[in-house]
Amino acid sequence: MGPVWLVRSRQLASNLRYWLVVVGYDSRDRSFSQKIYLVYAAVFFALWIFAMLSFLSSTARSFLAPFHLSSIPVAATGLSTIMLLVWGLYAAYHAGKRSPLAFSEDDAYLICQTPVSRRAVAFAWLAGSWPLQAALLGAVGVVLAFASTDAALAGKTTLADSPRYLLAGFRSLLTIALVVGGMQSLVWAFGCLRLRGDRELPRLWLAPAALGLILAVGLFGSGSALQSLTSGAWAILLQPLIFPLASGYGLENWLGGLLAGAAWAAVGAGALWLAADRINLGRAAQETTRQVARLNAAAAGIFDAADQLALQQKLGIGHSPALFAARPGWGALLWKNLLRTERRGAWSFFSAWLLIFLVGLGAVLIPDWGGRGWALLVWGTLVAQQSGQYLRADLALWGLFRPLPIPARLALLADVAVPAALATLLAWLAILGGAAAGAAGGVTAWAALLAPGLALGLGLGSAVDILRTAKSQALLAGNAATPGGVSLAIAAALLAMTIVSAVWLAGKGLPLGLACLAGLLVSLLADWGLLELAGELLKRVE
Amino acid sequence: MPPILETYQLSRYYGQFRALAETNLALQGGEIVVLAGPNGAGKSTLLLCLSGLLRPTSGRVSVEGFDLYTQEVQAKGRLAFVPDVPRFYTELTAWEHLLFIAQAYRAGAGFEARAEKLLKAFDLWQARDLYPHNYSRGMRLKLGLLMALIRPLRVLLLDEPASALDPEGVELLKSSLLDLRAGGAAILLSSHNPQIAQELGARRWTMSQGQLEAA
Repeated sequence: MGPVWLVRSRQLASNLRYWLVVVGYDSRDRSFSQKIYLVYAAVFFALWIFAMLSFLSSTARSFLAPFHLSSIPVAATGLSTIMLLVWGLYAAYHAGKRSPLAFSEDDAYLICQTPVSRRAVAFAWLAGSWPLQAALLGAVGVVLAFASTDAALAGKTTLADSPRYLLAGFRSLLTIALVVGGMQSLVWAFGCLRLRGDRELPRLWLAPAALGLILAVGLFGSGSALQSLTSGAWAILLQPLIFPLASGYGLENWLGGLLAGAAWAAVGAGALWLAADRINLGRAAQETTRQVARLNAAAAGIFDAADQLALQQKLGIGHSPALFAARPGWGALLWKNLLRTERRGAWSFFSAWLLIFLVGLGAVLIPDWGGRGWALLVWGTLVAQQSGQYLRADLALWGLFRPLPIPARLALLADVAVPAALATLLAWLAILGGAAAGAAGGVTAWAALLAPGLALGLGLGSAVDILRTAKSQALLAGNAATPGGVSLAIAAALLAMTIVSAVWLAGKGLPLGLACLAGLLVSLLADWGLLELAGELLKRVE
Repeated sequence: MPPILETYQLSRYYGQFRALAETNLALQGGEIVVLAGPNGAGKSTLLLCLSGLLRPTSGRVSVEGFDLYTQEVQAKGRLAFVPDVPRFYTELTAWEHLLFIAQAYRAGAGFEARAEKLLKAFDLWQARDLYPHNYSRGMRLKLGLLMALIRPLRVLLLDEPASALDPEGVELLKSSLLDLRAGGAAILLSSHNPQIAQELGARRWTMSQGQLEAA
């Protein structure tokens, strides 16, 4: 075994061991019971996956039916063709910008600095990446094959039909896996062109982008892309892709399709063989080590580190100074939080708060108090999570945050005030939206009075939860806790106290406005208590 | 003259392990003390307890008479700590870190001129708009030091400040410390380099197994 395959096989085995540990199997334990457990786990997951894919097949069948094609397998072929085209072009677009071969820091030193065969590296890395891609895309193919079998059986499925489903799934999976292998090899060969040391091709990504545009206009121009793939010029042009996929769904001879899939794989492998000969592995490593570190951190469940690495990648090298002025004292914390939010990008900010708004709107629109209670609890949990973000970031920089000459309570307020204000504003918008929709389900404008106290309390409850387990040593290492069960319990208690007191007082004949005002007072009292508690916890971090 | 930095029976235990024995120390204004000792002697623990980053198991720390825990705002306003590996906000540039610290300490007046002077002196002016995660270790240490120097202080604590600096950086550090001493500040720094105490004309304290000697 060559050095490249030696290293790669060890890496893949290590990855496999990691996932086996996740499902409870310890590969170092050679006992018989562990072997039995492995068989049990394999059977369990095979059955579970089969059941899940079968379950999805009826949904897929109802999804495919409205396309009015001659049969479900024809629609499945069309959909699979579009899926593989989109995937292939997207992968090629990325390969034109960044190396498709992704290396870790260790690889960068151990593999990329050595004069090993570049071809061996390309194929060894492809061997690590292809099975996952093939499994993911193949799973869609299996669902579509099951849907086709469903349609053939006209819904009269019995347990005796299981082998028929298995065979259909297997045929589809195998052809898709081969085609995906070929397409991925071609994409990697395309990406390798940019990594060759003898020329610069900085605009290579334009080719798949342009091809994608042409395909989109051509396929969707007639109104239905699936129809375009069944007849006409596009159907002929894309026949090398359509034929093996159609064979997987029983529309063509399967062995012929299998041969076509093998041809895809052979052409792809040949292209990669030619293109990978002179690739610059150092350059590939420079482009991908951070990405690999981020993916590894996420796979290991270290989401803060993954988030941090993604942010560093997004931010790039530097930035011109902020346009808005910093304020003295605790205003500096507010300024810093606004700056951080702006730099993190609009999408992460808006997506998080849009979800909060939509859940809030749901709570307003749901007519019964049971459903509304659940919606409010989800809303409270989401607000609490968002409100704790600034404090977590500050605590993770304990050496910078702790020495600031800002009273603990003010520092806490600076971190939760902006999210609380935003949550309040969105709650008001949700109440307004509910009223405009005419389905406010008994929630009147007076309920808006409850929002500020609730939002602030949720943020402070989150702070209490984060701080109650905080330890200096962990914070000095950059590890701040995430809000969890206690935050949820505080949110539930706060929501219940505030809303129940307002509803109860209104039920006793107090005007609704006054009852809501009383609810606001209750929540503000709770907020004060939470602020005192969080302030003490912050001062007394061990 | 009363000491600027004073501790009374300061100690820190990790479970049963004594990282810092009960320590009484006093630093006068205009004094530099170099803290020496082998790895694991308790130097960083002492500095962390003095800076308020690590809560002591027992004892008190006072800065110009202000207790670090009961009068924390007043005490923190006078105290600066530069760790051996400073950490920064990912989203803020070096310039913005200096601005943030200056404003948080209400030292915004004349910020731009002071920041420019410091950044140029420490050779970070060209890199002022970069995010610190793109800095080398030495540059990060310099930025950590500048974040202490951009604001007024009476006590400066430094953990291995010369560990990652180039020779020019070390010279700059020494001249900055001498300037601060001339301004009446008390400085306590840990270092494995015995020469640094001589060059700064500093007193030398030694730590061993959590015990401070020659204090």
